[in-house]
Amino acid sequence: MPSVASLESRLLDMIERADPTRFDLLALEVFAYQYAKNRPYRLFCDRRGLKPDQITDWRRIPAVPTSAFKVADLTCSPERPSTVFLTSGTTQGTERRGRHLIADLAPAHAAIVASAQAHLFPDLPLSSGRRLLILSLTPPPSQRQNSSLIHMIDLFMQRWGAPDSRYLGQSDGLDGTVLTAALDRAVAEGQPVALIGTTAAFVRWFEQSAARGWRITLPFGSRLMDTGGRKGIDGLQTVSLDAIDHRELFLATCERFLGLPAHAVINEYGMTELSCQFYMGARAEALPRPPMPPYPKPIGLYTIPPWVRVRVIDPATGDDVPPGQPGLLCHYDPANLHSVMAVQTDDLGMKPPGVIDGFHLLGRVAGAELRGCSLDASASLLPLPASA
Amino acid sequence: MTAVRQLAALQAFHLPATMTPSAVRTVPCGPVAVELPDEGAPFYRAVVERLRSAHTSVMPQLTDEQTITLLAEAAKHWRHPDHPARRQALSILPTLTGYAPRMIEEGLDHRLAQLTPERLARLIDDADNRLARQDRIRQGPPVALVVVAGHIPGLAIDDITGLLLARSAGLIRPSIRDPITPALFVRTLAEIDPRIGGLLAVAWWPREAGAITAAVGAAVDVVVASGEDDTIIELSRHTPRIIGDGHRWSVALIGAEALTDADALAASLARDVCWYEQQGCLSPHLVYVEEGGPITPRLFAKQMAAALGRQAHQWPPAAVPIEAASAILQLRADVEFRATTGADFFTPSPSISRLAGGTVLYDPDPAPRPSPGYRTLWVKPAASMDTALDALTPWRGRIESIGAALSDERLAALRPSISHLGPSRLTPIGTMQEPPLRWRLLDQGLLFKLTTWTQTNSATSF
Repeated sequence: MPSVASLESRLLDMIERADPTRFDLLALEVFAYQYAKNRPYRLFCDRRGLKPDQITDWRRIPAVPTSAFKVADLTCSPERPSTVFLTSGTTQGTERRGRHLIADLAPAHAAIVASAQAHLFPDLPLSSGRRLLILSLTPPPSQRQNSSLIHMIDLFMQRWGAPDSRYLGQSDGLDGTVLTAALDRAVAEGQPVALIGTTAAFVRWFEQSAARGWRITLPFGSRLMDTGGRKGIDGLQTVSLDAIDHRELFLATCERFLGLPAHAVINEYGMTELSCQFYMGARAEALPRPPMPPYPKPIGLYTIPPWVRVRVIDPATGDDVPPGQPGLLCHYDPANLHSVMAVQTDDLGMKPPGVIDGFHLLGRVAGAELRGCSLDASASLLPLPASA
Repeated sequence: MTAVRQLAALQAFHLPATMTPSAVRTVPCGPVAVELPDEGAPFYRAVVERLRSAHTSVMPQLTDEQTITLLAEAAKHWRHPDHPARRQALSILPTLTGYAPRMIEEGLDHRLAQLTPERLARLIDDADNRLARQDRIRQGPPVALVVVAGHIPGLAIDDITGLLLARSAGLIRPSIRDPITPALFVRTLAEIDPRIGGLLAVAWWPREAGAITAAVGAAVDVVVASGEDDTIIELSRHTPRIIGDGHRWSVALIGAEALTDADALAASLARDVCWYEQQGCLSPHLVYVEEGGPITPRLFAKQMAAALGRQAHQWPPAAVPIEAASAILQLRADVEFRATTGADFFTPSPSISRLAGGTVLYDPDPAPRPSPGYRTLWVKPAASMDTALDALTPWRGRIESIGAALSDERLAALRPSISHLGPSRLTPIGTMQEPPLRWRLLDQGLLFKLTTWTQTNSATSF
């Protein structure tokens, strides 16, 4: 078995070069490492009779359901790592939260930066040194030390953020007037801006903006990244909330209030249990829709990073479903180097026929508990002051 | 293709005599096509008024003896293996529900076996005596809407019986998973006594057709709804006069003394678990097993898994929907990764990557948890039965049935604590899913609720 240093070095190189051809071999080596060092995972594999020397195809690497992250310390590190990302809990509140123990942030950082460079900041190569005003609707890391989302945003600010970049959210919500004032100033100065936050936070802010009759056209080069989908916003009853069911309407709302063209609105799908992210460009492709009306309509195609693989499986058998059929998403993310690479989600997805590097996200299976970064990253807004 | 053609255009509705829909929709439904009225709210309002009129003219002439004879006669017809309506129902229901054919047939026969003249007469006597003690008489509302739960084939037969014994007319909206049995059974009743054809109507319309639901809800005197909570909440938007319980679960209790023949006990409980793939309110979701018996609760859990495997030979499992399958996968991991606490899971099959056949989730944490169904059972060890009953306190009022394997003495001693949890039924393990009709009508109280509504003008609400 190669040393972990060698493994990590080759992993970082694969991410940096965005080279998909190295995945098959590296995945098997990562599995061997995790099997050797991650005791709970080893027991999981042993029970299924699957050991590294028996597996020659990455698809057979046992995937750990996300519920395991709530009850076990899934780490290759002999000591409890200092970085722990927590899932946001549930609507029930008392459920255990999933925890992703990160023994070494380097692979996750490499993955975050590579994907953001490709999808969120393609016009700002790190080598250029050019930066952008980043405004986050979330609270700062000091108030959410265990949020993988806010950790990611913090990395964005370090790598791409102009000096005035900041967090506008607080632990008790976002003061929409502060955000509005910051954007007014950016427009006055002709300064492009990157807005980042949960979908729910944007929707609530748009509601307030509509109530106040506020709208603006952001300078050319501005962009918006939302994440989290419907999570945490089901209690809202306003017309604009209906829009969230339809990506197209969310895009139209961004254009209406911010003057952002659709191509400047990017959606991110990530999980605390993963180190990678999946980005969806703004244009909803005219791809086949799944034949399952109870689930939300797909809102576009998420791109799979070159160093990641995603299967869509039938949970009753563990087999891949045919292209075009819905199933559960199962992610293989080698940047989870020191925890578990193969993660079985309860997110429902579909790969369109002929597409190998993308998938549609159809939502969570009915009955699955509500969870995700939206809940944690404080989607709520403070009440408007009386004078507003 | 041939089978579909032979059974095509099965009429899945029954309307009072002389009423015919102006248009009929033919929709695919499992292996067949069924015909449904293609009508709007005014038509259904007219159906309710026709039922009300029939109630006025027919019900005073219909004696209890005639009702008993009618129901018993219909049941006798249906129990005959060659009865056309029975054959039609049994040929379609396995595909519509996914349940094993033998399971459906056994369930239907059990239901029909309740409808004997002797049982019905005794049930009426008991009901009348209990009502008399409260200065009430057995008289339900003139017209009720009955919304039948989706998961138990043939359940509407109980509701139809309840309506007739309460001396009510009714419109029955069947479940989309069993759209045919109610119409077929009502048609049998009408063939025996044409007057009944005017007292009962059967028609399905989609939940999204809120205008129809609102019109019918406003026109009838009461709505009887079984099923999921959201069904009842949705209905209550259209009418305040609703009788419904919402979703409830069932549990089982095994005393240490009952573990002397653990194999037989596991087989009985496996049968209870497998009935209707745990989709009904009488399905056990978890069992508390008392420690200190001849075998440990953990060993019993293993035996349960084996028993589920044996039961699968009798009743092959249904395909597990993706929602349930996902939940089962996650729960398996939940217990597996808590192995240090003693938690674990067991399956009938050595291949644990496949879900078919069932899952036994063994968990020392005493807190009750519902199962995702499809033959998934929590087994929880309990230091004593008192401990188990204490653990169930959060489910108080949401437990439909408790299956027990306890000595007579212990059962007598524990009865007050069990009653405190509010189950409508306490029964031996192995009989949890085969309740007598008197449970639905008297113990669960459909008959009394219908009567109460009329006489106190306040339904038992969810």
